[in-house]
Amino acid sequence: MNKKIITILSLILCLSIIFYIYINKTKILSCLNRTKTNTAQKYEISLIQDDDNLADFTKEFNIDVKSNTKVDCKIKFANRSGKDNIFLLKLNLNYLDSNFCLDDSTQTIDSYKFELKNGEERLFNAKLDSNLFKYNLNPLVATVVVGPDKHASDINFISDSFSISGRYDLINRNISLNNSLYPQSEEVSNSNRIRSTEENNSIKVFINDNVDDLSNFTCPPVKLDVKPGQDIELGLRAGNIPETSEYIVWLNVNHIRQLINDKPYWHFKIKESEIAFKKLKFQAPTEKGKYELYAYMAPNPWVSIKNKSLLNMYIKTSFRLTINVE
Amino acid sequence: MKLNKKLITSFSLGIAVASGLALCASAMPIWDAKLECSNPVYSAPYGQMIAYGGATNLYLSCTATKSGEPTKSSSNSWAKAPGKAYVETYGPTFKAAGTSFTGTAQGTDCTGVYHNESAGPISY
Repeated sequence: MNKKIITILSLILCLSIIFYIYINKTKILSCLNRTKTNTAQKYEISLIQDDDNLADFTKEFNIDVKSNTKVDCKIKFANRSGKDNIFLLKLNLNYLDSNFCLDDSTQTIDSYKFELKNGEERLFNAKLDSNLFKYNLNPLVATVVVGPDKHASDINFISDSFSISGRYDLINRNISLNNSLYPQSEEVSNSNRIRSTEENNSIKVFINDNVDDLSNFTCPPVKLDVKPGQDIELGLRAGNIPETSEYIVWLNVNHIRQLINDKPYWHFKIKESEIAFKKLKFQAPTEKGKYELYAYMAPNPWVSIKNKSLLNMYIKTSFRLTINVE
Repeated sequence: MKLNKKLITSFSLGIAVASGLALCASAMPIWDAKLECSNPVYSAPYGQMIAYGGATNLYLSCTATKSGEPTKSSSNSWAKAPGKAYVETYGPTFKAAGTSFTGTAQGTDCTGVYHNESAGPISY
């Protein structure tokens, strides 16, 4: 008798639970599968022409380069991120950190830190030395780093989206195309390149602490603890832009250029749909503190922007990680 | 006759300018972009970077990272951005804890401006 009652009660309980789930199905599923949303932070960068109009990046810009003079480059940056923040402006001409004067100042600087409120924009009248325009085609990469004083280890997150870059092709009419001897790229050996696969197809420029396995795209640690002056080895992987075989990669530590094998950048050539690998070896700074490390990659470095799809010309950034010298 | 010719020329010019402006307006600066993530019971956690609006060029990526696991990333690009574009990626493991998602939208508009939009991290 008791058994029968227990069975009937259990059945009623089971049916009630099923009924409850059926009635509240949407609520329960949405609880199990809750969607989190994050609105994007927006930044804009542009070059302004002499007539104060925006420059069309799909074209080359003829510039008057007179020896021993300064060349004007007006850069406009807008912060539409929803937050006030600190930013760092850097200019690269021909993929080298380029010193510049700003506005009316005659002081030469390699970068400029500034504060900008949300919704505001700022125009920089930068002046570059004319002797930097060494070729017929001189790509100018204007870069703004967001939160230059912040560290990946402080926010406990490594991001590959911390900066905005714009590339503009400046033509020095005094040098003919035929007389321009652009830097030569190095071939990457077979053992230092891999084919892109479905798994790594979206990897463009990537740094981690694995130097043994080329195809290892394991997320790097947010912080590398090292001793002052200690040797650091990191794996740099780059490439994988459609219809592109030539790349330039440069490395920054605390927003200052770090040499790669005694060269200011790694300039290499691979086949399309390949990723090249390079072991980075350098010494940790001798002063204790936190240092941010990241790389930029420029595809088609001296190919005119008007001959390529802009999609294959965007400057890419690696993850930004912290070297903690303790 | 002369007047007619002038009228026609000005009219054509007007139409050309108007169409140029309309073309530019149709490829309006950017879009709004956002990152949406969920952790369904039946799969690994899931992230989607979504961009709305037009741009002359658009590159979208969505990345999932987890300490000690391979980075998972998806990207796609459009020579002319559609009204709504998205890319999606799954976390490297079924277990969501420790997984973080970020999304990036890089684009250019016909007014000569490079845009960069970044969303996240959304962490589990």
